[in-house]
Amino acid sequence: MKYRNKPELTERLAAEYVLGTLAGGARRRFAAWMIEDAALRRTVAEWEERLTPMASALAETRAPAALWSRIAAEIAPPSDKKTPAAGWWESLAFWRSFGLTASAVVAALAVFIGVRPPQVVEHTQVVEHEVVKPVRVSDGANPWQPSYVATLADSSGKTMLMVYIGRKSDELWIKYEGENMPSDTSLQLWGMDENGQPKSLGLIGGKGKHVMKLPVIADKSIAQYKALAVSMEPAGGSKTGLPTGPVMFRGRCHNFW
Amino acid sequence: MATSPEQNQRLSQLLAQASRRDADSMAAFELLYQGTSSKLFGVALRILRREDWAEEVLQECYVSIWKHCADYQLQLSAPMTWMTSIVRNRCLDVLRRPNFEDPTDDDAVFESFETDEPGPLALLEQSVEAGAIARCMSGLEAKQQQAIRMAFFEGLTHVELAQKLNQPLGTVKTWVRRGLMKLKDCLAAVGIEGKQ
Repeated sequence: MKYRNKPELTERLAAEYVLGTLAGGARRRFAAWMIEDAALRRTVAEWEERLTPMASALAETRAPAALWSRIAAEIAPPSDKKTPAAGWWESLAFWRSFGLTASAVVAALAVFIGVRPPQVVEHTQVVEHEVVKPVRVSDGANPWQPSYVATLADSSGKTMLMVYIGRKSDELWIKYEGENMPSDTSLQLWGMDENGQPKSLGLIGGKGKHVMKLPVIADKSIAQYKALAVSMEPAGGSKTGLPTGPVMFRGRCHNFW
Repeated sequence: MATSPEQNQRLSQLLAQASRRDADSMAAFELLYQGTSSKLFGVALRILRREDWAEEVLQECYVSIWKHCADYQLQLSAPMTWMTSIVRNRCLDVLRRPNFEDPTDDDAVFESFETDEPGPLALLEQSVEAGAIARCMSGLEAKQQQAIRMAFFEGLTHVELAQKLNQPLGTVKTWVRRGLMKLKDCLAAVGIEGKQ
């Protein structure tokens, strides 16, 4: 990446990102770099600390009373839902090692709340049990600012896969850092709803960056998944519509805005 | 956002309480909302200049803050800075969505510090940090100051700044860049850095 080893450029971009003048593709690329670069996030946080006090010059305005009710309704704990049953993906005990990585990523990504969504896309039909194939994209390409992000780790807690999706996008971006699989097997990505029920999202296309089509925009599909997991399947993916092989990677799916 | 250390400590406690997701969490979050929503609504209104959008943004942001309050502990910033950044980023997002129509493209938006109630200087001096940024801003050249204010308070891009200020794009970029770097030096001189 061009900005690396150029502290002055990094500093300027971070300042302009926080000020807000960094726009369009530059803003999106910068936000994508932040996902992977802790030093960059720190530089941005420093600029936030410098510039944000200017906001205190603004007059306070009481928000309408109904606003809190709407927020409270949205965040209230679901009282009528049962505790989700432990699914097959809960059986391996590596959430603990994974937890730290996930929190760190979330902390870093919370700053992305509020980035520009791509245009709304049309609803497309999906045929049951047909496994979605990924499309390879160049390593330099980056998604629209993601509102859903998941980092999937292996059993040692090492991040193997990152998934990014814009809330109104039907494009799921994957960055896979592991090795390519033998030709008679495929890695298949699953979304887990709160009851632990897996739904296929498609195949992992090997090392590098790929894009997969979702059946509907993320707000109507990814939104229901609490976690994502990858299982090893026969070449071309599971024929049953459910995972049949071992779980290779997993991670929580975070919604940022 | 200029907030006293005591206020920030209180806000951190409320975020921590909310993140425990126990019987008191909602009450803590409501206190957090009561203590911060007027400020954040003011920020959103200023950038978006439309009440309905500002409400929508605030709702999304508080829901998001609720979801992520457990992660706040790992943030590098003070709580009010963290929350204000969330709201500002979301506002910029709304401003820059495709087909956005500028609701009030008139000169009224050029008001700045001086015209804000209730007395911006008084507000700015309420905390060391805000006093520092106000002093450092006033040390900039007038055009640098104006460009940075307009960008910060109105969410303008370089291109929009150049149009509104009727200046070449390169000139405006230079004003912003030099102004920001001067601010950084000035703030470092008075000892304001990010939370470390």
